[in-house]
Amino acid sequence: MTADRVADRALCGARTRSAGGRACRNPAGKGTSHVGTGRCRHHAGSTPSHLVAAEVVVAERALRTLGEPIPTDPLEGLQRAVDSAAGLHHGLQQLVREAAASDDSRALVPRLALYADAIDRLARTARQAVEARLTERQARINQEQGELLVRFVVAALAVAAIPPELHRPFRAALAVEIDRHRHIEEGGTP
Amino acid sequence: MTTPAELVARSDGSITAEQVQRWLDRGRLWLNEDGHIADLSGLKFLVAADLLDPPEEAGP
Repeated sequence: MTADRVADRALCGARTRSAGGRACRNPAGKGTSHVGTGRCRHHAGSTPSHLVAAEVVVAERALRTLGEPIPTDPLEGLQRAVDSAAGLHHGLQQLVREAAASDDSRALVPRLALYADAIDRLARTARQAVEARLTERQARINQEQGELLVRFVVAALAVAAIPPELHRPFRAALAVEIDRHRHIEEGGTP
Repeated sequence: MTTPAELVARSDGSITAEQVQRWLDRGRLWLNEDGHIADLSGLKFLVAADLLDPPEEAGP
């Protein structure tokens, strides 16, 4: 392997005693469960704190590619959020039951805190989804009523044999009247 | 984060988020304190007016 290729690779980088304080040249994570990231096994790479730190780095690296935007229907997105929250809630409920059944208070306390958060998150996302569906339904009903009104106008123009050159000014005048009516209905002045 | 305009927009494009945002910007629709569109009953008139006299044809 050439010097350039070695330089391109991630290295352990820990200060070494044997090499006079120079940085360790082992590949990052060599001999650990997180090869390619963090310290090698000779430099505390398998200690709990290094394992956690390496997991964070791996997750952040993955998110750079996994976090690409995906076009999503808002209602479908909310439903997926509710499903995820329900899954998390269920999983934590199981963990709490296991800890309670084995009388493991060291595990039970943090799990209860996470479970409480999961309950809140599920309730919050479910509420948002319900509100969004109500909004979507109200919007759809009103849209249909608006479209029906326009169909009546178009049909009336045809039945009354209004000349086509008058359709546009008539439609524009009607649009102004409709907007004025809406304004008055909402408490505005005529 | 889904915007109020995106929630009202239709996936078939019959009402676009830009259209709803324009109604919000012009005060034809408004948001309540929760950040939701306050009253959707006026939407039928806005839809009808835009269909009868599309904004791009209506001029300034």
